[in-house]
Amino acid sequence: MEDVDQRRSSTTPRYAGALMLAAVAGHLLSQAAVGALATWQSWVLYGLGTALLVVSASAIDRLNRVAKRIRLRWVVFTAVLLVSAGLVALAAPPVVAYGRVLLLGCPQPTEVRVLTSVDAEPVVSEVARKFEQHTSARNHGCRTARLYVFSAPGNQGANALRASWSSQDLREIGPHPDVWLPDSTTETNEVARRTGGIGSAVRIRPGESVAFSPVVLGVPPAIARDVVSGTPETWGELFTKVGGTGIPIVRPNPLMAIDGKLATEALYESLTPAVVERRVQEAVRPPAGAAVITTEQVLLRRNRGCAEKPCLTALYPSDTYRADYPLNLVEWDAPDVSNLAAREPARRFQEWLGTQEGMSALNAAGLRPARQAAGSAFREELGVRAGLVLDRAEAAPDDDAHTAFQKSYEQAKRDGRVWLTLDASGSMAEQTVSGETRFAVATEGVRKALTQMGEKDTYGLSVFNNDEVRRLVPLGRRDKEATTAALNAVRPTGGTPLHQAILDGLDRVGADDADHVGAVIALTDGEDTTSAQTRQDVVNTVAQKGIRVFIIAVGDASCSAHALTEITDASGGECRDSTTNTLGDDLVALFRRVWGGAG
Amino acid sequence: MRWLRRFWEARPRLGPPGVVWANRSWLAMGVAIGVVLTILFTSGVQPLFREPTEWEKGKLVVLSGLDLSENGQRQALINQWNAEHPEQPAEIVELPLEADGQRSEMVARAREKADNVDVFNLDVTWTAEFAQSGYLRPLSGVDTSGFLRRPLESCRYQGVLWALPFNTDAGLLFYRKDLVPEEPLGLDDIATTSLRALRSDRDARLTAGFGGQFDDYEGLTVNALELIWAEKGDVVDETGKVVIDSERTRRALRWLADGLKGGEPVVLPESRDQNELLTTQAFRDGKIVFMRNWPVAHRALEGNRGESAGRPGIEFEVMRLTGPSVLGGQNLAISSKSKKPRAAQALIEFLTGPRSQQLLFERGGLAATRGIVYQDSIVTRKHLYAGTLLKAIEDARLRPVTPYYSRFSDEFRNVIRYALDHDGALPADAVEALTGALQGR
Repeated sequence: MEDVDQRRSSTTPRYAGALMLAAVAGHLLSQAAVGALATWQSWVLYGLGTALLVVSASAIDRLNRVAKRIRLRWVVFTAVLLVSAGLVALAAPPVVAYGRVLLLGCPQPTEVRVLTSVDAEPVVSEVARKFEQHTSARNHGCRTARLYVFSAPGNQGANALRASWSSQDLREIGPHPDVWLPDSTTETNEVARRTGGIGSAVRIRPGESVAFSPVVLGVPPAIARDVVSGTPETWGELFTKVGGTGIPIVRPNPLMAIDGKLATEALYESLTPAVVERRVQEAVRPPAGAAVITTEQVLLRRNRGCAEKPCLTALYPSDTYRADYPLNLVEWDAPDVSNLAAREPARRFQEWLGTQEGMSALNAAGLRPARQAAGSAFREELGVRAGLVLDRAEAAPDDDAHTAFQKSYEQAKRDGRVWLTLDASGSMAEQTVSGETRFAVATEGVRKALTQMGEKDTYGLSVFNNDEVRRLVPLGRRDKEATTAALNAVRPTGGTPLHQAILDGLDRVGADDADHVGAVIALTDGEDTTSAQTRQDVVNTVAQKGIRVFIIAVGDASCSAHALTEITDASGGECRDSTTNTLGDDLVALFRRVWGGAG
Repeated sequence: MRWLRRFWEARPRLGPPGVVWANRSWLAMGVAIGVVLTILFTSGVQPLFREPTEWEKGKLVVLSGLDLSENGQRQALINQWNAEHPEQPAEIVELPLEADGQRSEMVARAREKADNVDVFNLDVTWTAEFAQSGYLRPLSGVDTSGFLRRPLESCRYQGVLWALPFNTDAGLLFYRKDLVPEEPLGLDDIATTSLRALRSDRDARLTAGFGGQFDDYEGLTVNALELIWAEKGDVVDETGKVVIDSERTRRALRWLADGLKGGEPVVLPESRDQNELLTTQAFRDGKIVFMRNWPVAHRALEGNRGESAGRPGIEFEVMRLTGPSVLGGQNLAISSKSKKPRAAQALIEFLTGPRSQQLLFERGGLAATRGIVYQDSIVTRKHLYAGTLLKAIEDARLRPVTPYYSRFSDEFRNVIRYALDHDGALPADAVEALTGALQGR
């Protein structure tokens, strides 16, 4: 045989073979020279490729010789080609994928951004981790998706989506979401309607609720034992009973948070709005021993981390509404932020939440999927109960009721009275990048903020420096230009009597009464330097008067480092670290909050 | 087995078509010709088609996290560039403060077909991921002399330079001067000094000895690594092998887990919910003797060390951690899709150049990546910690280098959280889980 082969081979195939090896050698050299073959894996891959080339060339040559002896060889050839092509098409992708994982490790998972509410973030994160793990099951242990879960306070997420995610939203809220999992279906509808039109860069595909969590009244266990009766009770009845024990009842702002809104709507149905508003407190951090209006899942998760279980026991009013967590897909049309790759895994996440595995994950995290009974996570010692009887079929009142509710809420809230005091110490004359002084930036921010003033709202203004507080505008309704003009005449210099200014503001605003609710807003860029009063004096006065104090810290000032939060926490206010870039927006947000709107 | 023998006998005839292995001269000649032609082509023909060297025109988009420098110094530098190069204006697209959110948006944008970004400002831990995914263009013809060794090392992956260091960072140990007679040499010293201070009743506000960032975010990864390194343990060695299961590592975790407990805790129990800002506040309020933090805390404390507002002042000093610090900071890299790579590279070189680095440190407080800046007298006068920081950076270590770093960090925090709840014991599958995470599983 060998002799025959030797005789039949001409020099042409030898040239071909030599040429091929020349190409391989040249390519190898150039690859090695540019550093593409830096790892052993790349050498293995290169070797495999070369071997494949040589073997297939050899095989074709051999096949060619065999084929010459076959009758109908074109038919056979075509058939063989088709069959082998089919085999390769079927077998190659999984084989290549597995080989890839073996040699190069897992491919990077697709990034999916999930926007949710502050309250739901821990739950959604937990469920998302389980989904990631699920995607690795059929993929050689490699996760195919990574879910980045983030949240926006209040309705900021919905507003940002409506505004097609401006650059400010990108900076302050987070990346463009691919999935939007808000607290309630009612939030979705309006946004979906508004974003569907022509010219909108974002499209929302509304999805169904994946699970729900009823709004409950969490009370200390001792109170729960006193209050609970055998029969189901409504929000109005429970509220009156718990209110009668004298403990504070804390509620999130109903224009900001869904639990606050749903509970308040149910309460207004049986009680006079003004009665409800006079009894509840709005606070971000509820004090110990208070009753809290919240969703069941928040209470459940808080109890898990509790030293003495449970911290709070959930009371389930029979007429309560519920947060129902719809999963909406978000699609972006802008060519530079579309993230098309995320659409497929986002859809699979949605589907997975409807499977047995997904529902179990939701249940374990503290939510109740609609089609599955509450699981072992819902235990007495965690302050919740598994069985649930709710009167209402709908999760939340419809949109029309919401408008009416907003009106009665705003009426029940009192008119705002704000005292604003600005730091005019020497450091405020420092220049920002834009070339203006800090004080000029603040003046501009105040002008913007005053546009938020409601019809019956009033304000007054002072500046502080050296060791004095100067009143520029007395309390009342004034036009904005007068204020700006007064501020423009101020020349920042000297020290920072912050405490004195806050105390003066408290005096000016006066105590809250039936018609008015007051607040003091102070803007400072440094710590108090020249007041006679200590911080403790201010804290005491604030706590005693109960007037909310808000502080905006810019420049060298810092809420945490100067413990300014101690002052603002004394009365349910807030301290906010700001920069000269965001000062205007922060002031606007604060004024909106103080004057009763959503912030 | 017969076919195997036949295959073996046919071996001399296998190979490229018609080439008989016995006839080796053809092979040798083929290889020789290939090598010669390649060398001729690369050195003779390619230079004729060399790319032009002038910068492309048009806007340069820089994706970056929120500017944390004092007085927007980063933007000031960009303004300066724009004034000098009106045909290649740069614009910073600011991403959220949280690093994970920045990464998420950057990855999603890098996957777009459109040429939507020219320069990435990457966290030091992301170089491997972005390089491996093909989002970056390697840098060539860059003068890397003058950069500090560690930050520059974080710009390389698999021997290729992908980025230039923009700003760097290293953890420091802050301590109360009035309570610490001599600088501690190790974790045990910190514990002893803390307990002595707690028992001495010198300061009623003291509640614990040491404060760090042990909330469940990247801070926990950083702090846990540093404590393990301080006990001369390790998590991942140079070859990429997980070596967490050692007596030294367990000792460090035990120190932390035990320290968090008891009536006179060595480690502030609240620090399990604290980030950098909250730790700073605890230290300023006199609750702790020692604090691990980034140098940015020095600026916050420096301005408020005096007595004021009824709060006693504090006297503090800063030193290097007792072990190596984790290297922080950010690197600038060119997007592989950028149509303006030469202009982008020029911008990167401008921002990492000696003058920019000097301004960023001197006015913006961002630690420079070039050694020369630390010798400047204005810098050392304005930032008293500069000398200590330089030593800490030179001594700092990179977090494990892997394209799946965020996955690894997640898994590592699971291990640490378990250890803190179980007296420093490691979960049974710790090595397996971390090894998998390093490979993206």
